[in-house]
Amino acid sequence: MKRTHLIGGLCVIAVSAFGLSTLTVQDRSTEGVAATRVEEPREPVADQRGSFAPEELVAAPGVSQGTREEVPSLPAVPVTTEDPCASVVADLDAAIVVNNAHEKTIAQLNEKLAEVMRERDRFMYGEDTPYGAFLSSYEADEINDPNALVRIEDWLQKFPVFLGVGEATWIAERTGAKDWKLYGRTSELALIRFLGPDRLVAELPPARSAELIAYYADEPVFNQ
Amino acid sequence: MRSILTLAAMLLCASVALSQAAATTTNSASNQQSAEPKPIEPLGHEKVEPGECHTNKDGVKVCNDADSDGDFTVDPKTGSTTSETTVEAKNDATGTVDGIDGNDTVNCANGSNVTITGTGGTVNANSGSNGSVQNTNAAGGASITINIGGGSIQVPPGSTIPFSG
Repeated sequence: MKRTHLIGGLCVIAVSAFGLSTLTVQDRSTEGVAATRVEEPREPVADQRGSFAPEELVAAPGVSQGTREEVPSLPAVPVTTEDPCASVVADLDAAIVVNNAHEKTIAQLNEKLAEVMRERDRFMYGEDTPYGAFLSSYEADEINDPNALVRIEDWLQKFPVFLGVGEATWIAERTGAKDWKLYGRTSELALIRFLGPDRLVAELPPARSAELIAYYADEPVFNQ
Repeated sequence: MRSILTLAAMLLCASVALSQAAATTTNSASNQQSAEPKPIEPLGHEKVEPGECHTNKDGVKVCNDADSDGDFTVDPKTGSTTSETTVEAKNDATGTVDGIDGNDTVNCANGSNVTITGTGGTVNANSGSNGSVQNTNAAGGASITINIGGGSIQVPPGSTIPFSG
């Protein structure tokens, strides 16, 4: 009797255990499908060009498939990684480097030329002449623009007066900047104003003074 | 009889004297009528300031640029068709000179920049001046001379030569 009860009890336990295990497996498979659908969103399908089909991008509820097919497809945009201006920019950079080097060379040559001109002119002009006196000043050594030296020489031949401190530098600066108009109607008038009309009349040779006064008789330059 | 002859001689002398006097008066009057007034050329030059143009009777036209930093002068101011015109481009003047011929001269000062056209004449390009000279003569015509840097060059007909003094 005890053996019969024991076998019957074991059968009940076995049957119930099988049923439980079956139910558990079914629940787990159901949970796994649900999780998969939630965790993996649908991705649009890419075509061979790497772009997305319009219907994948504009899929909206309530819009029929026919309406979506009428939207014209966008033209293909070529994707390039090279900058078309890169070669031009590189050429320009190279030209700037070369230009800077040339400018430096020109500046050095001008400095040398100015030095040679000063030495030459010191032999040509005595210190008793306006330009010779200028060349003996420290200002002359600081003006390294040959054009400015030529201009000062030219002015002092037309207006033979002895320059004061800083006056030659002012002429050299105006020559380089070409901003005479800031100081007079012409470069000559600017210089006359800078040096002083009364001073010029007093120091210039009488014939030259008379010439200047006659030339500017119709302008308020010389108060004669 | 003698008195009659004396009277006749006196009348003859008087008539001769009168005729000589009349002839002298007529000659002096005709001389005054034929004398033409000498052409008098106005004195002085024309100052051509920036932004202005001037043409004299020699056919030389000078135009000074509006942004020029120097004056031009045209001498003579008016002149005649055969005047010897001299144009001065003063320091830093920029502009044009047209119509120079064989007896005309253009002087370009330091810093000036002048465009010159004509059929002859001379251009003196001083140190520091720039510009160009165009000879508008037909082939076989005269040249224009440019004096520059102690030497000179010729601009033949139909040619344009830039210069930098």
